[in-house]
Amino acid sequence: MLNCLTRRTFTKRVGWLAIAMPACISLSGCLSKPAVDPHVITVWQPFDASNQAALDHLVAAFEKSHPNIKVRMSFASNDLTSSQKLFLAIAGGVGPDVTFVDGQQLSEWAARGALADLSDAFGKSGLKSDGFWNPRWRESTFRGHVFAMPWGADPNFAFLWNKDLFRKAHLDPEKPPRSIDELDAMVDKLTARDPQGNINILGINPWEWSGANCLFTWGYAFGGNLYKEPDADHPLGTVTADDPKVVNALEWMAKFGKKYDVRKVNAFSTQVVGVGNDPFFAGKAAMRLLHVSQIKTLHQYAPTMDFGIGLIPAPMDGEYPNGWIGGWSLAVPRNREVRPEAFEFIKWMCTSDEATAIEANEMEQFPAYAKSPVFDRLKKDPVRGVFYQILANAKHVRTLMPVQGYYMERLGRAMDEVLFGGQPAKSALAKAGVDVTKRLESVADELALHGTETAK
Amino acid sequence: MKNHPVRIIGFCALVVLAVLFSLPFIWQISTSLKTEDQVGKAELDLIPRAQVLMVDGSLVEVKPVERKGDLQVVQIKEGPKKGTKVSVNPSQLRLIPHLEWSNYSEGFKAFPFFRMLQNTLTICFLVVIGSVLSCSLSAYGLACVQWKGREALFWAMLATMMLPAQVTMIPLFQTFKGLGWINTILPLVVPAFCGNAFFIFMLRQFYRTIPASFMEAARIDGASDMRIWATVVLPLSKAALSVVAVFTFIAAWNDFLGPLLYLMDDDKYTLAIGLARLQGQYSSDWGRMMAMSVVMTLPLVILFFLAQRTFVEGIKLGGVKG
Amino acid sequence: MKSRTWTGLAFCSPLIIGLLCFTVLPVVASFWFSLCNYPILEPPRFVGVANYVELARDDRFWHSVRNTFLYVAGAIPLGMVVGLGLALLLNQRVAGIKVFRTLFFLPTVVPLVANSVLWVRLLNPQQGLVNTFLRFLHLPEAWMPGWLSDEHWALPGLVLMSLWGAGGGAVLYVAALQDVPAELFEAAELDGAGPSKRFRHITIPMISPVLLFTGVMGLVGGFQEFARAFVMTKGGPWDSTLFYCLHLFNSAFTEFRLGYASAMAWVLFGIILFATVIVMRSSMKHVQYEQ
Repeated sequence: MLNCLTRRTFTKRVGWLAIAMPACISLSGCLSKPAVDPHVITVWQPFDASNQAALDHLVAAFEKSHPNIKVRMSFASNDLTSSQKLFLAIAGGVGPDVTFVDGQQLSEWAARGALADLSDAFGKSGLKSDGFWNPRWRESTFRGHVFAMPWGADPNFAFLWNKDLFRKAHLDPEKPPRSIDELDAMVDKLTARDPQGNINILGINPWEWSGANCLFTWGYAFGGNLYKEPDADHPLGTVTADDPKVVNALEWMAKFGKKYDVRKVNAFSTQVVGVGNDPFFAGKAAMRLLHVSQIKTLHQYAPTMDFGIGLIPAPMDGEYPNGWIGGWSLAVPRNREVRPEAFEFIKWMCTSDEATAIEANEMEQFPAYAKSPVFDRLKKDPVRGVFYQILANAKHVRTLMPVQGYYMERLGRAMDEVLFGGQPAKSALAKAGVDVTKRLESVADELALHGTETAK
Repeated sequence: MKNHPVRIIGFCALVVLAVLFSLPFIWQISTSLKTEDQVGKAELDLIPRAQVLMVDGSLVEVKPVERKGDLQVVQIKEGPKKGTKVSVNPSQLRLIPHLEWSNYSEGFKAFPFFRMLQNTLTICFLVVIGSVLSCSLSAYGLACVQWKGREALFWAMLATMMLPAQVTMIPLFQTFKGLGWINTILPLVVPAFCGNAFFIFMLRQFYRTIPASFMEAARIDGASDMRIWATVVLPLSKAALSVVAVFTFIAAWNDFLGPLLYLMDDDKYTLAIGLARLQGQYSSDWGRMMAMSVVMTLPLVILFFLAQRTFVEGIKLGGVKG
Repeated sequence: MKSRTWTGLAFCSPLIIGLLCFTVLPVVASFWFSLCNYPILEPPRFVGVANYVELARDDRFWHSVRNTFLYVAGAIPLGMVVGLGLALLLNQRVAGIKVFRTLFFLPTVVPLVANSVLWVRLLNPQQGLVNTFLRFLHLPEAWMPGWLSDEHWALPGLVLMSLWGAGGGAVLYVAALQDVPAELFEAAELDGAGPSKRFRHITIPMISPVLLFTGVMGLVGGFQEFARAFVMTKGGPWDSTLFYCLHLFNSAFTEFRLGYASAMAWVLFGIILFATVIVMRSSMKHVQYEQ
């Protein structure tokens, strides 16, 4: 058959083949597209597979109590610093009716116009802002507008210690450190090193929660603050990276890093975020900071550990008890109108007894809605009760500013300059502050944020 | 056998290196068979083990539940007392080699495996067909046909690989959206039918080693280019084409970002996304993740094993020449 | 001659259609973005060459350039050498060669997440297998590399890890080696050429087209290295594994500066193009195609 083909007819055939194949496939794809149903809302969630059953339960419970609304929930990864999928979708004019957003992303995303203004819907809903844990509520608003409803509240962090290692070091296993001085003294006794300086047992890793997060934790514990929110004189707020107390916190870490060798400490605890060979769970680190979602992990991977749980130590002139709150919120991407069904779903997820119960019981999350009845139970639990205490006392969140991502990154670099490069904490943080202020001003120009009133 | 000592050294080198190179896979399998309390251990132990306890004169497997002061609470996992919890002195517990298969059964339950497999295979199948066809045609055009502009086209094609995808992602997404392709498999599949610069380049290199005299001979016999492509070039390049097929299959099978960005429904997601979801923000189900990772790798290993016969067949010039 | 042009165009039509439909627009758009201030969610605003000027002054940018060049200079030649070595071993006629070929290829099919978790453990300076092996060789403790936790050793650690992927290249080399006619070797042997001479004068020239291919693709891919650092080190410690594309990604998606990121992309484009042209030009003399 091929023999009969002249060059010219062949040319045509190849050409047609090349055009026809994609065309056929594209046609078949278009035909299978479902019609948009007015009573279906789409929701994007970022959780790993172990939460799928709980998520299904949430959807089923909502659909049962709201028979005229159907929820289509699907996975959209969000690695806490970036969400390529969501931003591509928003830039491309598609995207869900409702999406989960992490607390640290909220002010930046709101300032940049990624999220729809929920103020009207919230005003009409009859909900009160004081029903939520205050730090989480502050995080969900920007310039007086509501851009999200807080769903979870992660009390960061609880202090965890290994009683067996305390006993081995002849320390009282029932008495965790209260002050930084006590902590330093205990670390000294608990840490075991070989003659080469390699660590066999680690006291604690102060910069465990990567980069800027540990500056928040210890900075707040030392009584510092990284950002002053806008007032009449400073419409953009003030970046206070070199707050003397924050400098103290970083200097403490630097001293620690020098004494135990930052590279050896890191070598001991290198981990891929979320999957590491965690030295504490392996019984090789005496103390650590625990995230609420790790309670489950603790029982899973270290069921033979005799541990104690309490509050993070702080200097005597610092803040104790202290903590800052993170967590997921629910929001509407800006290119979507705020549909009543979508808002109803958000409201139900964040405030209903049923949803908050599933959230706490099946997902190991603390609800952001302070009035949820699950707290009666959580309060009494020996482990979760500690987290409750942190939550109830916490005043802080991460910084709430339009260049949040850059600030976190820049703080992380300042930490490296101090810990690895041996630079003085004060100048490294001051330099970071100058850079961030500069970026804040230029972004404010771009986004016309200088007016104190509205975001957009 | 004249090179005997050389061959023995070669064989030994093969064995040593093979062990080194298969280590990731062995470790994956080993972790996938470990119990939870053993997964987090700091030591790199390739043999899966489990805790056992002497109960009524026989060793039974137990699962540590929690510590209570000096005593360890364990749950008995087999025998007549299955399910009961007992407190024991930690020194009574022993570790013995043990394969924990539940990571696999739990892993299959963690996500809709078979639906995701079906989605993945559909995409892979179309991508392989599209790539093999379009790449071999284009490579023939670039390597075996003398025409003005082919160098320019070749460089234009190479150049497209040099711009990082991160910055073309948004306009590309908007293009697909304009075509109405978002939330379909088209953005993942149609480009494969338009050739892939990497493989076109590779095939071009292979085609250029085919002696021009073969094609000239066929042309003098009156064969068209299509016929030369189909009867001379394709059979000679079976090896290279099967490389294209296997490599594109692997790439499509493991692709995470493409399906994540262009698909919008859980129903349409692929195995790579399912696997990624086993990794949590703060913690992961290690055993399950590794079990599913083995399940995802195994088909590729088998595919490679079967296809390599074709890989190494070579272009078999000798046969044609003779 | 005219009909040959049409034939060529027809055969290349899938490629041409692909370039026109899916490539031209995004490429032109990204060039336009590089001249704009583009915070992703606001429309791009023209600012001329400001992004390029800022790049020149961005220390971190130069740092990422340095890291990337070091990585490429280490990983690409080593990868080719290891790949070729494996291919020579795999080209033997020994029992179970199929199994061996499969084993060497394994690391390239293991999903990145599983691979990264394993490598973090293998490279752990204290308990990791790599340093355990070095201790077995009785290397002094002071020489023990701090792999991923020491800023001087993180990049070499990633280079070492990349070598595990050499099996992919080896597959191509094996395929090419199979095509080297046995008569050539026999003739050379009769002329008294030893193994190293035969390797240099027959094997290398005969597989040079494939070597050129893997070299160029190594360059193109190496300069765009991203995934390993993104998953394993996030650019640390102390920015020592901050690769060009990681910096670019952060600029685009955590700092919302797509204009700046696009400028970075075009500079990288220039770098890769320049490197590729040099390699292709200088290879002309050495690469042997059939005439």
